[in-house]
Amino acid sequence: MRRQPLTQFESIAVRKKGDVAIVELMHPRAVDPADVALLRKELSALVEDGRAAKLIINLHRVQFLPSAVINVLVVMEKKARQQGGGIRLCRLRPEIEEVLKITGLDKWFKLDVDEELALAAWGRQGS
Amino acid sequence: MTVIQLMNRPEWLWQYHRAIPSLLRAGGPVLDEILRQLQVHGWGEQDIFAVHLSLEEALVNAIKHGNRSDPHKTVTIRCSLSARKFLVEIADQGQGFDPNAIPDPTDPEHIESPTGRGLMLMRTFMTKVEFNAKGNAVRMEKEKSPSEERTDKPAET
Repeated sequence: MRRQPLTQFESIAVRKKGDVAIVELMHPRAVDPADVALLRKELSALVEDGRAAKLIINLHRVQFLPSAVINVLVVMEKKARQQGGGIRLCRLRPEIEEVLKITGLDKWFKLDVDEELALAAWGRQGS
Repeated sequence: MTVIQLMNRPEWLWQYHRAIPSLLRAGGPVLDEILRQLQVHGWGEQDIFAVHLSLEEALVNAIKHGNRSDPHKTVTIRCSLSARKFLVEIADQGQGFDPNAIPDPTDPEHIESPTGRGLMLMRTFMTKVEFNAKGNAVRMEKEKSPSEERTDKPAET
């Protein structure tokens, strides 16, 4: 299957820094199933073909995190972890952080204040 | 007290009743109108976020899981708003489900399961969440948070 170039995603913007992929979710409130399906497809394309196992997902644009999007992130985190990486989330609004705490996922994901701290944490974990 | 009796009480400042087809995009305008009315009636950002998230989850449950996106089935939304309370009932035409049979999504054994998180968020963010016996209608109440009360009312002596 032909790889989708990193610049051709719609629901995410991806930059690479060493072996870490920094991913921004572009949709402030992905509630439509079509939006959620696209996000799942694009994150899968990034994680499943081995292009990125260590991810930082920057949520600064996200105003609203419905359970359908949370489910996508949980599945992707597991896939990334199976490949020796994982997902760190950063720049969460307080209400988004609360949603993750309520659902017990603040321990499933690693949460960081910003990209710099998330990158430093990946650096400490090594490859 | 039945939903109809509740809806007929005099304190409601705004009431709304819509039946929508089982399409998630059909829920958008309904949601927008409800959130607008909460704003108009002086509800604060945190409470509006709580109602918004709970309504999104309840609508997805009704349309996708209840009616299985069958375009011949409808979802009915009834709500009432007072100065201090928001009441909403969302009913679908599906087979219903047993909310007590949904596993705890925070249990490490079930954390990867795609079900249960929406219901948990609804129960946390709303003051009260109840289902009918069949499990195809949910009634949710939200009381305005004390921190979001206006401070311009006369002090009690």
